[in-house]
Amino acid sequence: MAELDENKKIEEHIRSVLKDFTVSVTEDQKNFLFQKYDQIKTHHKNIQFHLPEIIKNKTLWIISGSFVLIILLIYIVTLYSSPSNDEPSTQSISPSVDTTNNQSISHPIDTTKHTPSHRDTITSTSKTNTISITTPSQTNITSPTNNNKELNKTINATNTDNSKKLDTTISPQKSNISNDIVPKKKKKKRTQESNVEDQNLPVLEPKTPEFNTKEEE
Amino acid sequence: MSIIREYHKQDFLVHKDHSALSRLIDDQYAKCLGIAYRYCKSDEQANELSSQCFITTLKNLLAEEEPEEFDENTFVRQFIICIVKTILDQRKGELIADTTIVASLKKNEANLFSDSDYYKTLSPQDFIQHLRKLNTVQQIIYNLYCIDQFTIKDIANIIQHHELSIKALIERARFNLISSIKSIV
Repeated sequence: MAELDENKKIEEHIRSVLKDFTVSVTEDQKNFLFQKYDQIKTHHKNIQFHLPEIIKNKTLWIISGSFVLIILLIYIVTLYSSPSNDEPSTQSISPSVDTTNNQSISHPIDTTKHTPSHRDTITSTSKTNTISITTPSQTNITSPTNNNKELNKTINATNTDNSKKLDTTISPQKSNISNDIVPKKKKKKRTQESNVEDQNLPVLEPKTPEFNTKEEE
Repeated sequence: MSIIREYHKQDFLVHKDHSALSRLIDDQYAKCLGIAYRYCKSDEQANELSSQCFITTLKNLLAEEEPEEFDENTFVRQFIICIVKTILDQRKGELIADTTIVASLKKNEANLFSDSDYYKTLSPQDFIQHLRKLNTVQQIIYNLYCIDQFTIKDIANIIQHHELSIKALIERARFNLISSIKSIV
């Protein structure tokens, strides 16, 4: 018990001595503290007083928002474009093939298919020189001439490469004097105008009746 | 009854005005430096940690918006917590287990030749030297509990240890310190 009491007394004495123990402070230590405090103060000001102003700035929000939106859009575009990369490639290739096939192959085929049939009918009439009698389109005398002009115009517009040939075809139409020249040139016209649909048939028909009418007179 | 000094936080934030800081240093830094001498193992470490923790404590107090004032007791308490945590961070690898062994025979021998008031002749620096003989954790716990009068719960929170082990460490630190003092006498 005596030891415990003595220990308690020692503890109380230590506490009383060390509780208010102080060490003298030098000027260097004070200056060091001021320097440290200045560093922290500037850092504190930078954080505490400038952050609210930055947060309140609307332009910064708009810029950052637009930037995020752009990034999101790019991301979405890349997401949707990556799986469908195969599809556009097939789409881009197949139509090109189709167009080339249609343009390059279908026209020659059409010309070969259509022109012989027209030629057959026309040549047969031209050789016999009885076209005016045999053709059923004699009643339509005025209309085919108009059709000729219109067709020639369309042909001139569409087929620029064949403009010279078309000019040659127009001149005989005006001078329907010789029968031998006209059908040959008309044959050329028909071969060139093969792209045009069945409207070629009435082109030749009205010219022959006029000639025949003159001869008969 | 000594008047408890109070400090307004706004005074510290005035631009290019060190009057508040100068006042705080004049009032509290000597005391804080004495506390650091008790907790640290050397005077050099005490000087280094006291300046560091003094500014850190002030920064932490100013960072809190409320209350707008703080008194000297709050400041000193925060300073002690800061210095304890700093020391423990520096000595993370050290075991909490007691490594200071004072033989019971020495204690008995000291008692045989001791005077009843022998400890009163010792200076504060002598007591600090005895404290520094303890291991780091015992030194900290003894300072916290016996001198600065922290509760066991607070100490357990600061050291991040169980309260029961804190109690055991306090008893061991007491025994070792008094034995160390008696052994010299």
